[in-house]
This record gives sequence, structure tokens and C-alpha cells, in this order.
Amino acid sequence: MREALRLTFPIMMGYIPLGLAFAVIWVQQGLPWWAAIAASVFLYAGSMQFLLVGLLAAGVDLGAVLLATVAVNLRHIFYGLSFPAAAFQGHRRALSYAMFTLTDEAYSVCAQLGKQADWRLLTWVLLLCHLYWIGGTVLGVLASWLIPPQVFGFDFALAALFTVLAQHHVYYPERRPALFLGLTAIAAALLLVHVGGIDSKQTLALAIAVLLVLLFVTPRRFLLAQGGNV
Amino acid sequence: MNQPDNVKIIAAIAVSAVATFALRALPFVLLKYAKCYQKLFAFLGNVMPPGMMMILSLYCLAGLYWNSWTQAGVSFFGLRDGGALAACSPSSGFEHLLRVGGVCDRAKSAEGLCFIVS
Repeated sequence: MREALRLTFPIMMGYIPLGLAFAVIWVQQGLPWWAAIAASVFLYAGSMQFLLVGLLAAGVDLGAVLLATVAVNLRHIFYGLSFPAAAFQGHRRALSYAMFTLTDEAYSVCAQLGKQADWRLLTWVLLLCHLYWIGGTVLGVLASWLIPPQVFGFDFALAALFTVLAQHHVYYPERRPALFLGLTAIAAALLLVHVGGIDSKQTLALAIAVLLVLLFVTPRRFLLAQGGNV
Repeated sequence: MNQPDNVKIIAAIAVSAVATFALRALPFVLLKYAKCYQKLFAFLGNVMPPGMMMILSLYCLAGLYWNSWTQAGVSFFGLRDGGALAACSPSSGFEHLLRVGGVCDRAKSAEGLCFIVS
């Protein structure tokens, strides 16, 4: 367990403030505090939880929530391919827990450990990450009770978070074409909603659909011009 | 703004949680199946994150209050230097002003992975 604590320390530094921020935004949006904790326990997917605040506030239907989840979390599919699952031989319950908690950060630690890893160590790593995230959320719920209800307008924090995450991709030239397609997709969706008169609740679903079409229509040599190794 | 009721909140969390778990468990359960679509997944895994982040960023920006000058000012300055999360200043060319380093580290570790895995 001490080894797991050492390995996950950097994750703790990221998860606790982020979980805290998530809970504050969630409660500020007028959503019940227990649901924030439920989301951190059962959903346990950072960017999706932040997005869920916006989706619930916009009153979108469950289909749009499903589509957004798949689009945002699709990257998780190939984490499992290189996860040292062999270490869990004969420990099915621990393996199920690993499948459930394989976030970006937990995966990066587990993949580092590689094949020689012990299943106990891996489970501790995954469990600790989950606990940091839940702990951050609980702290955030407590913090949000200290903020007087008159203070509002935390919406910009959500936009700032996603802007910073998008900004990070700009530094990689080979990702810029995909960024540009994303820009086109959301512009098209906003145009359809504001000019075309489509229900604004469909904005995100529309944008994702347009992005997928654009990704498959655009020749791959443009998308992966440099450094692309697919 | 009308608030969603508890049933809807729970349903949304449940739908999202099940879908996320399914995505995480799929490669374990259907290892062979996942292998033959590995190229497709790798392609999408490379191009979806930048595309989606751009969409989410602008989706949230468009959802802020821009309908009067005062509100636009609040949104703009909130985005620029408010928030303990992260702030970016469009006026000085998107400089990093990360108050909480976690956001950045998180993004980096996620991004590093996309390269390693593919």
C-alpha cells in the first residue's frame, strides 16, 4: 500500500482539486449535493462529469447524454488492450473493479508498472485514485456550502476548463486538423440551431454527429499529416 | 432556468456511468473483437480528443451569458481571470494562468497516453 501511495501521489495532487472544483460547479448549478458524490462514485470520469453539469442544466434528453458519453470516453476502449490484465489471474472481482476504475491517470500508472505488477499493488493504485476523486468531491460539497447562494455565475469555470484542455492540443501540430474539424462541427451545429431553428438541446449531439462525418470524410493523410502513426 | 428533477439526474448519471463502464470493459471482454478494430479505435482515439475538446470548449462558451453588454463583460472577465480552475486570456494570446496545476498535469498525462498506446 505504501508503494501505491507513492505511485499515486501526483494523481492525488490533480484529483483532489479537480474533484473539489467539480462538486462546487455541480452544487452552484442548483443540482443536489448527493448526486455529485453519486456521480464521482459510480460514473468516475472527470471530463464527462463536468460536461454532465452543463447537459443537465441545458435539460437535454438521455439519448444526448449517452452520445456525449460515448464520444468523450471513447479513448478508454484501448486502455484495456494494454492493461496488464494477466496479473489478475484468478481474481475476477479485482479485475472487474479494475475495468470500472480505469481512468486516464490510473491507466498511466498501471501501464508503467507493466507485466511484472502484482494484482494487489494494481488494485491499491486504482482504489486510491478512486478515493482521491471521491474525497475531492466531498470537500467540494462542503466548500460549496460555505459559498453564499447569492454568488452565482460559475459557468465560466466550465468553459475555461474545456478551453484549457482544447488549448493543450494546439501545441501538437498533428492534432490541429482534428481541432479545426471540431471547430467546423460546433460552428455548423450552432448555425443550425440559431439560424436553422433546430432545438438548442440538440446542439451537442449535432456537433458530435457532424464531427464524426467530417472525420471519416476527410482523407487520413490530412488528419495525421505529421507524427500520425495509425 | 428550470431545474431537472431527481429522477432525471439519477437517470442521466446512470446512463453515463453504464456507457463509461461498457467502454472501459469492452476490450477485456472482447479482446479478439477489439483487436481487429484496433486500427479504427486508434484512429478515433487520436482524432476524437482534440475535436471533442474544441466542441466542448465552444459549446460551453456559447452557453455563457452574452445577451447584454454587462453580462458579456462578466462572462469575459470571468473567463479571463476568474475561476480557481484555470484561466486563459484571449487578449494576450492564450497564456497559461493555471492556478491549479492539476488541470494541466491531468491533460498531459492523458495526452501522453494517446501517443504511447497508438
